[in-house]
Amino acid sequence: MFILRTERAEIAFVLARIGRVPPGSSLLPCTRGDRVAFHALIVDDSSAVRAFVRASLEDAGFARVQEAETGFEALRLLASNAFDVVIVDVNMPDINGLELLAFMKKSPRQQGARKILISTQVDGSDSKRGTKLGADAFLQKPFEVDELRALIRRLLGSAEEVSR
Amino acid sequence: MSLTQQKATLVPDPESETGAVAVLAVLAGDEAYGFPLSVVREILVPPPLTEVPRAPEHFLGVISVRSQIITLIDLPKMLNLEVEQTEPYGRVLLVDNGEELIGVAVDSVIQVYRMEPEDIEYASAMGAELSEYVVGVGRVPSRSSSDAQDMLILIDPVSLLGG
Amino acid sequence: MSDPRDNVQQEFLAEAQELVEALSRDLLLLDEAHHRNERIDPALINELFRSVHTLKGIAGMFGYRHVGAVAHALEDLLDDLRLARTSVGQQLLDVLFDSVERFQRLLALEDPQSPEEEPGVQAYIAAVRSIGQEPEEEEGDPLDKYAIEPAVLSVLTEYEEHRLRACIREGLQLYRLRAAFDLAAIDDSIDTLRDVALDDAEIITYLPSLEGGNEDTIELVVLLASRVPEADLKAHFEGRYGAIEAIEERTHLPTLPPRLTSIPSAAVSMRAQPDEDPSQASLRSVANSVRVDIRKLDHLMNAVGELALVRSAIGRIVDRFKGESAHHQSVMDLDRIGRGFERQLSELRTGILDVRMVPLGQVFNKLARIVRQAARERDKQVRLVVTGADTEVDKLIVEELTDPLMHLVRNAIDHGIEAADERTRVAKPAEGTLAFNAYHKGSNVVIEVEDDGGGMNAHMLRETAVARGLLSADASHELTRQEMLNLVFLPGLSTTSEITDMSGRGVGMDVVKTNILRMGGMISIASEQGIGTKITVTLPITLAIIRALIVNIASRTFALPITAVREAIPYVPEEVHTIQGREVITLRGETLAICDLARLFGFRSTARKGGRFVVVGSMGNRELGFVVDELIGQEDVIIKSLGKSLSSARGFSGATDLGDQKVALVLDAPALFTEYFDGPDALQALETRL
Repeated sequence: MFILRTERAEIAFVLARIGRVPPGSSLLPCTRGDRVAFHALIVDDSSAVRAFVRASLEDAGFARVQEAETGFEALRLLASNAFDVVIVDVNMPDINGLELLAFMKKSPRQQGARKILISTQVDGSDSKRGTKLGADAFLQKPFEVDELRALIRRLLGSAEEVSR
Repeated sequence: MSLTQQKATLVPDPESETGAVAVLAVLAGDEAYGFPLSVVREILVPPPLTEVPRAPEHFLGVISVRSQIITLIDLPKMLNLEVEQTEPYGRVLLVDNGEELIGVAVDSVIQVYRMEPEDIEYASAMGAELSEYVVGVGRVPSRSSSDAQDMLILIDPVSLLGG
Repeated sequence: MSDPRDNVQQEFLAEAQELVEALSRDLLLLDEAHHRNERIDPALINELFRSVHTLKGIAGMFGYRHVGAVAHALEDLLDDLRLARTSVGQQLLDVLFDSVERFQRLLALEDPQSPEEEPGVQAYIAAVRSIGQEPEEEEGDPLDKYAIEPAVLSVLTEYEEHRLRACIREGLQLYRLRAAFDLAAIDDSIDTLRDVALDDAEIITYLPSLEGGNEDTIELVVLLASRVPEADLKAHFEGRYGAIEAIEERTHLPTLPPRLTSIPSAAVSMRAQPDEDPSQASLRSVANSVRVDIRKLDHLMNAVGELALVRSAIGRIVDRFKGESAHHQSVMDLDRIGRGFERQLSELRTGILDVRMVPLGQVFNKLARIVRQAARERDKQVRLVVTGADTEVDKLIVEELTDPLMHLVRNAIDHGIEAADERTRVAKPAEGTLAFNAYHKGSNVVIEVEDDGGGMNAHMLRETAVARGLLSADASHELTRQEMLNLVFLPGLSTTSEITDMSGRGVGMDVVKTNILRMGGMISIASEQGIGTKITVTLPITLAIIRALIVNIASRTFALPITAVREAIPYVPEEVHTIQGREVITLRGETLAICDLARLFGFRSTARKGGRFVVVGSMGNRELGFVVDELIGQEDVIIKSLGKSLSSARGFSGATDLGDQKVALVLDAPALFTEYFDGPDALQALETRL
């Protein structure tokens, strides 16, 4: 297979030589398109799921999507950004989705964010707890592109055009 | 690859309602050929050529394009046509065969034609005489006379050393 | 609008592959622990569960129905294991190991929903389910035993609750640890905490608390379960982290006796050196690493090549204006800048090469599974010792190495290590040892595969070679012992009936050797009868850049990897003799066959009479002199492949850009040797076998 795993530090080193991203900063994705309709955060330990969500939302060019692989990374991003939508997987090692929701509930900066919880059972205890912690909607795995887009459209109101 | 699959490479222009295909016409050794424009990545002035000893005759050798090593082929020789190549090649097309870039040496580039499906006759319909690299034959307005038509031999890039 | 899933497919496959590899690694640890009758670390079972659980999730999202179904069945089984409803046994292990191959096959399918696979998949799932147990009746919820705050309980996932209950059932005590972390460095801090906790406690979950935190730090409450006395835990944690306190039990409930009486041991390792713990290393690196498509790196390298041309152009301008006094200062500035540019370029190139490097542990892990499989098949006891798994090598080399090493391993187990009773009879431990070792040596990497089996019989090798007509009886008597051992590399020595065909192709030590030589490496064998065998493979660290001798043949430029070159001497036509149709010269008293490359390639040689050279190439124990017209010099070159279309061009392993769009073909020394000595047909046969 042609895919290999490499240390972030090594990539950062190469990029620093080219001069675009200074060493020490995180590798942030670029904005696609000039009209950014909403700012989203996807928190999931699976890179395939993150890539899928990113592709689903960025395709229309109306979303700026940031990714977090762990709850910790999410905490970092939540501390310095205001998101319109936060999509969180419930089952993550260390800080799980519920804990993240609880944190967001108490955090003043994230009060306006719409929170979507991804879980494997929509009517299980995870979801019940999620609702109590302020989740606005649930997505059950596996989910389709259209489901996600429709959900976001509903949550953010018809004012924003989410996708065609 | 079956010929029905080959047809897939002539990707219709998404803007067009009739299913027209953009085709780049080139001249090589007395014949005119057509490539789907979608697979032609670049047209270059021929860079220095490095021969590869003991390679089959239709391989002219390799060229270097932005530090990438690309194979250069002679189209008429690939189609087993007897051709006297007297002039040096005028242009090199960089063609994407689905896996890698292939260089095709041609004499000159004619122009881009928009071909409707009815202008194309597929090789399958004409019988099995033609080489595996040929999708079919296309008719385009003649450059010399206004009533007549010229014929382009339409090449399937995917079958060119690929797939 | 296109389906985003198409673009993301690669991402899914890469992640799925990694999950399966993690599964395989963890299964090996489980297997070893089980066979040593050691306590199974619950964290290991949890890791297995997690891998399978995640795989099930993403398989479902990307339409890999069969993969999802198999993963689901395994998830249930592992859940049973986690909750001690069933225990680890041979049958369970076998079924789990089977899943690895099954997943790999299912992931490689063109059509992930292929109905053809259905019966096989269903049969396997049935086998898995037959091992799981019926859930027992719960004796009341263990969670009730503890006075855990509802706020904490409300943020536990079902999954974490299960773990909590399992810990309580095993009789562990629950603790709460408060610690503050710097947000910027939190990943490392958590890793450190995990390491510190490793031996003593199982971390259930981390709860971020909004008290005592600010923009840069965050306080976490960590929920732990542990068997270790509270005082020890306090001593362990309180120094570097915050306060730790036990969560009180509600009174009046009897504590359940611990399930196991043995003392918990440290995490099981593959008997690696104390500083190496493969499972922990892999956990740590995932957070800090990204997946890179190696072809993108090639693209980057090309870009670097282009920049090098820019650098040369600057150099030429500097030279052009150097003499003129009018802009002297500017020219000197430009020169200085050019050299600074060159330095940065060199660092950039090194950085990109570093990115391509992966640890050999990847290959060793795959081999470990083969070892287990082969040992089971042959009914032999084998223990595996791995050192130097951290040694890094170019990713492409790792890809090429897997097959030859697999063959060496199978050889060692099939023919090297004896059966248990035979070993005890000669006062050896019943369990054989197979060792992998890897280390860097200069610009090479050395990989050793060693076994303590019966060793090779040099004399028998000699007799077999003579019997097969590979060697004349007379010549055979002149051989030294080492030369007799090296006979094993001769093509045709082992018959197909003896060769264990693993990868679907004919394999023999000769193919292994050719593969190694092709990579620019060397292989040697050492063996003592009754004691064991050690095979040493030496390879360049990276195939991407190699040092080559640049030569001219008939006004065309070629490159010959320096690893194949012993020396270069002037070509004196008068000294050439012809023996049995071959041209030879005498070098230091020995006969050296020579090959006129201009003639071989069909060029008309355009060199002046006296000025040609013979480049003495050396491959293993064969030598061949290549006649060339001019020696240009030595250079570090980046070898690019010639593309699929030209792979049939014999004698070339690629091409390199020498700058200014000048291309030099890179000579494939092993292929040229084979063509010369064994005839062009032998080369053909060899290539089809590979």
